[in-house]
Amino acid sequence: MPFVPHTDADISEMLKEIGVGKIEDLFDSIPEEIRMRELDDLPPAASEQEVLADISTLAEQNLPLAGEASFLGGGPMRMYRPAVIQEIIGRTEFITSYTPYQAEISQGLLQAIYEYQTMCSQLLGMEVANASAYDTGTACADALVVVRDNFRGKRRKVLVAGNLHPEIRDVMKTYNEGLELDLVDIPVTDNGRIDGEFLKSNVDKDVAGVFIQYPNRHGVIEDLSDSGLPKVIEAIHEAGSVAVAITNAIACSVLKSPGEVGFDIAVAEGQPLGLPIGFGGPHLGIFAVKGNFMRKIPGRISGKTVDVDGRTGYILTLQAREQHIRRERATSNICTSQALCALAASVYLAYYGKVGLPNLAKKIMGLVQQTKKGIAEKTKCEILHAGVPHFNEFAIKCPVTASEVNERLLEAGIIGGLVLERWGEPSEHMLLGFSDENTIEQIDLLVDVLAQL
Amino acid sequence: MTTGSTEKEAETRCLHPGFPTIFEKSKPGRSSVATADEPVFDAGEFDGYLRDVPAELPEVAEVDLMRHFIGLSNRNFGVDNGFYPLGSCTMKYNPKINDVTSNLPGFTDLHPYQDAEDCQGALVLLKDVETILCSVFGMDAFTLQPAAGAHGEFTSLLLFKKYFQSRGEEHRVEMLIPDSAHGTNPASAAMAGFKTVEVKSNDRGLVDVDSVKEKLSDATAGIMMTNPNTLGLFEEDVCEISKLVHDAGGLLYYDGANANAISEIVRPGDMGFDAIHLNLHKTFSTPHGGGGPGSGPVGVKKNLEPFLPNPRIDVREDGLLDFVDLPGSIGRMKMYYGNFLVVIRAYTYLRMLGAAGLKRMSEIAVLNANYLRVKISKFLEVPYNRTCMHEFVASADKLTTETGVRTLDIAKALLDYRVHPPTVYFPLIVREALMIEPTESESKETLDNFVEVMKAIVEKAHEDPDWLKDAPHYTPVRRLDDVLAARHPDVCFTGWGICE
Repeated sequence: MPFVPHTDADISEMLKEIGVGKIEDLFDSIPEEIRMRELDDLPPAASEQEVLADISTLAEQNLPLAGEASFLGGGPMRMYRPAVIQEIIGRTEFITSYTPYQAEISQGLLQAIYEYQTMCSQLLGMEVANASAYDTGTACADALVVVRDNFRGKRRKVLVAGNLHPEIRDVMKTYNEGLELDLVDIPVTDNGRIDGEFLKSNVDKDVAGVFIQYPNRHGVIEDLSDSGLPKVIEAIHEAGSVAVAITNAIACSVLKSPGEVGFDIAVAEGQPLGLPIGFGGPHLGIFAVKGNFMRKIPGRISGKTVDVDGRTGYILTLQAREQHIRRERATSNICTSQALCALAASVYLAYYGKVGLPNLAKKIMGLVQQTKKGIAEKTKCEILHAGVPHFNEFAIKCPVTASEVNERLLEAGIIGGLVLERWGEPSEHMLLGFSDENTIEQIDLLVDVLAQL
Repeated sequence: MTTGSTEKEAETRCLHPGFPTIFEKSKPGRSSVATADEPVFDAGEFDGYLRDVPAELPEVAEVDLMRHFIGLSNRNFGVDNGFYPLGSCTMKYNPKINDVTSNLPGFTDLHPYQDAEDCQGALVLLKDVETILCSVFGMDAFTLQPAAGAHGEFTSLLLFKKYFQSRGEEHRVEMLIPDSAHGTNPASAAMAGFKTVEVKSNDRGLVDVDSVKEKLSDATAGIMMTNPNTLGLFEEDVCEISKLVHDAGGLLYYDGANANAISEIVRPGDMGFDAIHLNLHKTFSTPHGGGGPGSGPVGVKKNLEPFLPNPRIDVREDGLLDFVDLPGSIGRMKMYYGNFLVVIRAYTYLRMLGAAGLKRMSEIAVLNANYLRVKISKFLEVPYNRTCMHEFVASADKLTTETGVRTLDIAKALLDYRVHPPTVYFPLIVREALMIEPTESESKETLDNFVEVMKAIVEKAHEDPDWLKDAPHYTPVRRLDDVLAARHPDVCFTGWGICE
């Protein structure tokens, strides 16, 4: 049988050593009345070759974005993945290892995580990052736990941007069933930004934390100038509350980072950093904080130390926060996270590097600027929140339903944007997403098709 | 381990760079990608929005990047490097075909917001996995949503909570948890807002039925059980406990971390469990990735099905599969449906094994564990030394008394033999515990070699205990100062220009 090396002779010898006659005898402790009498009716065993053929057939029944002109985003974004990434995350010493409990033989992964923590902290303007959460949604939910525990549960209210990505909001709501905080939405103004005045007048001594996203669900960037968001954060801090940013890691190579703006905690989606969209997972939740929150955060943290001979080495540290030590008093239940995805992100960030990553971000922002200009000048589509800058996405109102527009685009060979009806918005609203896989030619074609509506 | 942690020692981290970080290999102006051309971008629109200081990301050529990460991989140890009997973690061989199927572009480049028409292959695969898992574990419905085991536990407990809310039984706030449980159990219960109540194990290493009876009340929400438990023993009284808890109005949750012993042998559904989580990265051969990504599907009985997390996969009127949201759901546990690419790996494995193969998997896993138990118990104490399931727990307690050599020393000595140590100091109810799970992947020769190594270490403990207390001797680094790491945390490289 595949994956079991035992010969019949091996089994006989082993049973003899154990002192039983047959394998079934080893299961005598299972009460007879619940033992299975016959095998399940499952698909029959098949060879590697047969299974590959079957699964390939399933894969071919899908229409992947690979090789297509696509403007579908809304969170998960198809980006070009440099060849080095698969080569490195496919290394068997990484992929077949467990969480690095035994530091002496896990230096590779521990150091890679340390470097990942550093790169994430640098991008987000923070001082500590953990070794990953499952995705942005659960990272935000983790942040919810941190802000609650920061006040030992005494502050019960949390303000959440009304323009936060709906699925992130949903995950926070689900986790909150256990936390029982009062989640209050911050209203959104016509330009797609949060209502700063509402926020300032509602952040009080009962507010544990404030969650703000930039770029938000419509790709809109909050006013990052000194008189804008930083002032709002000051008000949050005056009330003693914690400011949490949800952001885009690539955008932060160009835009003011959450740390520069004044946030205490920053979470970001790591999927665009070298991970496939993979029909929704595995993705990567980046979670970082300012130093004063270091001992309150969930998840694994790799720290630099020395061995008995004085050599530099790395080890999982600050474990007194974690479930295997503190059980019900832990900061989180997290055990397995997304370590290999974090490794992929590290390789991605090192590959593009200090100059290449901002260039990549600007390239995408440039594509967005050109498309906005083309749509404004040549089409009957209305750009929602036209007066404010966007990162890699923006929303439009089409003269017909967004689904119809997508059908037209598909006829022209383009996979269109996200139909925002999915998020409870009018059926004419569409979110267009851009990545480094898009070309000028694709954008011209997109604008041409939209112009014909 | 302490070596006296001082500021001065913190400085030595800088003086002995070990394997230099990628930041120390950076050189301004160097890059893996072309950086000469400025992209077409109008910065005017972003006046006042742009960061002043660039993020200090590495500046390395591709060849140096490869050498750096390959160098790191050489300082790591996976299942393909050697025996990995890490108890409760089921570090079995990860078939390479799993990586091929999960990397097919028809899956990797599929967007969760694409129309159902364009994703039927993926949806069919997911639905197939749900169906297979229902059958093997005796449950009525499965969600593949949770990303890891602990995430699945938490999901299950939110389901319990919602169930009691729907019945107006919000007073059920107590979760019974055996003292042998994984640490994630109480942590998940606390996150779901339950109060944890510890249940004692009896002298046979099983959940004590009288202790359960004593703790049951109108406030009981349920019990979290691992079966086989963390001692590797089957909870023989599970049916009685199930009846007691159900009669008291509570629900039963099954921690599926140890499901490798029971496939096609006995079903948690038949034991009376209302919810179960699985770790596809344990039982179903998907790699652990150095700490994820995993996958933690949750199976439930009919009573909990209406509350399963969104989205669900269902058949539309036109016969196609599609994601749907249920009104009674606890909501989303994660932004999108599960760690799909991990699920493909498990599906590949399930399809290759079939029902008979799954049964063989569990049988050989149990055979291997018992073979090791019998041989190791000849020279090292095994506190509950009777037929076990997929794993067993040895104790170095007596050895420590006799020689001063502790479980930690044994673990570190194993590293010098290129063997990954068992899980140590867990479960908490065994002193100086070594929790050993060989899995079905390992041949008799590998097991025999492990026995020889363990025997040599125990003998060494009597002859030269200091050598073991100094172990490991031949690893890239030796024992690390964890006190220094925690007291003076250095969790982020800041040494640009300092360590040059």
